[in-house]
Amino acid sequence: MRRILTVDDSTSMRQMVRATLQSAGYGVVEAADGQEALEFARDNAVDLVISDVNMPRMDGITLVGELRALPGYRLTPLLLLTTESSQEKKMEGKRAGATGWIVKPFNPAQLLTTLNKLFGTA
Amino acid sequence: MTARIPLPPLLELATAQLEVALQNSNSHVEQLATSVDALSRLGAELRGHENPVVAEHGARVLAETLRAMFAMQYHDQLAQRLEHVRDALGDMHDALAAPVQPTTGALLGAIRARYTMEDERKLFDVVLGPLADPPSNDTDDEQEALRGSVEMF
Repeated sequence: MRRILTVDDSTSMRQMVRATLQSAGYGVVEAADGQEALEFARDNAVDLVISDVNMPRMDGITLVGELRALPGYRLTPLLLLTTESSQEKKMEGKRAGATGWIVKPFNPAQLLTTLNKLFGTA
Repeated sequence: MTARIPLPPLLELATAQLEVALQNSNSHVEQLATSVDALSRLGAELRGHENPVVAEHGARVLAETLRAMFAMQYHDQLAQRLEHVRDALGDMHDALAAPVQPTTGALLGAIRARYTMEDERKLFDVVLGPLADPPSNDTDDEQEALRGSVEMF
């Protein structure tokens, strides 16, 4: 089973992302901010990360940069899921090493299609 | 002579009222999300049932819960907007209470920098005028179209 790390400071958002992913058979691990996610990722491998951008302690773009510096995460798909839609922020995410940018509210079916493409299971 | 309006305590009151409303609402939405999550699990479980009628009902339950999850995310967006208003009121309170008040530009810049949605920035610029940071030229329709969009790099 593929395992996905979801990062968001909103409990209800994490629940919705988790429910969407579990409905398609993915295993899900959750973190409430970038710092917690990074601490988990240092000792554990996941197949993909979906992270919010604006969070306390460590934001999603910093998290992406930190993850890309870890040997096990150089090729892992890292998606940013956020209400932020400005081109400037998107470019910041891209420069940090993000694989893609999804604007909230996310469409569950579209998110699963995106994951299928990333995992080559479409 | 009329008494001066006590602005700092009124701002503090408004900030506290928004905070209480957000906390109240968030706890109920978390309960709602838990219930929708449970229904989606049930739907996924039934979808795999050997009886095709049960499996079809399971698939429908799952599809409906995914639709509900999409709609529920607008609460998260609303909560973020209210948090930005709460924080702006807090900034104004602090500015009024400070022995040396910040410049208007510094105060407005700090408020605008918290925004995470382009339509928040656009409304700010329409009401208060653009700051040094240039506003987005996206129309409301373009902003609406961006919601739920997926861009792969």
